[in-house]
Amino acid sequence: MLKSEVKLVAPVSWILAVTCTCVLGGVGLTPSSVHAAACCAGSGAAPSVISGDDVAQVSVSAARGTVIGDAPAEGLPVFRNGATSEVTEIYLLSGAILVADRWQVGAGVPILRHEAAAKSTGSSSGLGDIRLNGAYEFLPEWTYSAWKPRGFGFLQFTLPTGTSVYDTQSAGAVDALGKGFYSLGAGSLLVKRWSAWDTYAIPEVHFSFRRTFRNENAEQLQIGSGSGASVSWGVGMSPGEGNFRIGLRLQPLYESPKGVVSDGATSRSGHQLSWNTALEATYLVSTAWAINGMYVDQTLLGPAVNTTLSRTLALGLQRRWER
Amino acid sequence: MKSPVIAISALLSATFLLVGCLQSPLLHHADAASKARAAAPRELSQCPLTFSQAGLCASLDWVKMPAEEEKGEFTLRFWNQNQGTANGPYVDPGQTVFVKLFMPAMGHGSSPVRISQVKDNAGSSIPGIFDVSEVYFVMPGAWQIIVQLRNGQQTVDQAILNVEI
Repeated sequence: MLKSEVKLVAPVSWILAVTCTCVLGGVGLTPSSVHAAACCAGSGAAPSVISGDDVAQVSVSAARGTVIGDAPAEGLPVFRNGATSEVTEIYLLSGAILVADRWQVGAGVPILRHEAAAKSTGSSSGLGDIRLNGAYEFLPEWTYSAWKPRGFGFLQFTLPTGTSVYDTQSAGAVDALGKGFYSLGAGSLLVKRWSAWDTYAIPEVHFSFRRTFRNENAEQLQIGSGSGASVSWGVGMSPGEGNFRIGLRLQPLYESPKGVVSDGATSRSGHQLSWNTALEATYLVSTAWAINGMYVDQTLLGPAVNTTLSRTLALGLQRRWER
Repeated sequence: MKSPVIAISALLSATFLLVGCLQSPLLHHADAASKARAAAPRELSQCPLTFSQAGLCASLDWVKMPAEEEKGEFTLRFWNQNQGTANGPYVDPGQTVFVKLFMPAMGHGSSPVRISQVKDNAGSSIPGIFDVSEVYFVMPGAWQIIVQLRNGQQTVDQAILNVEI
């Protein structure tokens, strides 16, 4: 039981890249959520999924992401100089509960604070994009198998409750706290453990719906629908099969181009590609409580295309209720 | 035990391979310090910004380059395409002048700019000359400065200046 919980707690991952949210294995920490950049705030995030033998879980986490540089659509990434910082802090409350033996529902509510140290910008804080999700355990682990993982399929709906870069009214888009689109995602969480070692994978695809934005000048900006995908792959180990787990995760993130209609003129944005490299650590305080930490770096792996590059540190606390 | 070792070995190998052989941003990047955020130099053509419907030309001169730390400011001067030059005489464009910043690759713009007609020492507006301030680009990259002539909410004519930030 203890081993199982350790395994479960550890894996979670990011979004949007997305988004900025990595809720995995019941952790709720979301590396992705850490998309500190105004342009890329809140893309997709992993859902809050109970992956252990629990009936419910609640997680709180705090993440701080700093934009290190910007990768253009073409050419080399440009790292920002030290005089300028752009930071996003994400406070996430997420939870999930079983509604049947193999079915569960969950939600995540982020509060963000976006700050640019530039003289003329300032900071902004508020509600980010709320996520609702449901999951089904399609590969239960009722008997031992040396290879068969435990598997969950999930659907996630994201509500654009946060201001986005498309309707920003502040310099530096510091009021951009969300992605701006209704989106629907589907994916799976596969977890496997062998004594002290574990591995997990979270393949995910998502589709964002077309939306029209209007600013204070009554201008219309229509952003077409788009799709994206990400795959998280992580491995970890619990020294001595104890309560501490440390792990490494890789996660490429892709967002397709979107059609743009502005003032009657039609254009198309470029695709986006980024890679998250994460170091994860979890400590199981008791069967009910776990604390976790995560460092996510988007500057290590490439190529990075048409996106900002951030480094994020996240800490989380999780409470679980056993069946 | 064998499978986990293989898995972590594969992950570490993939990490090192990707960092070393692919385009790791950490190993392949330029520094903002060596590529200062600066707008493109002023176009020297006879009609840098062409408003074909209105028969007007305009020039864009930076008063203050936008930087990562602060907003920029530029001046727009309008003249008749057939009767004037970049040195004047400047004419009132006859419509409301509107400016917006747009980043095509990302599909988004930036915060609204502030536009005001330049005044002389007596406080009278100077025809055809506009000050555009609060110019701030959200991130580096290829941007467009879109200058529009509007009649109410309708765009009558527009010209686009591409800038690399």
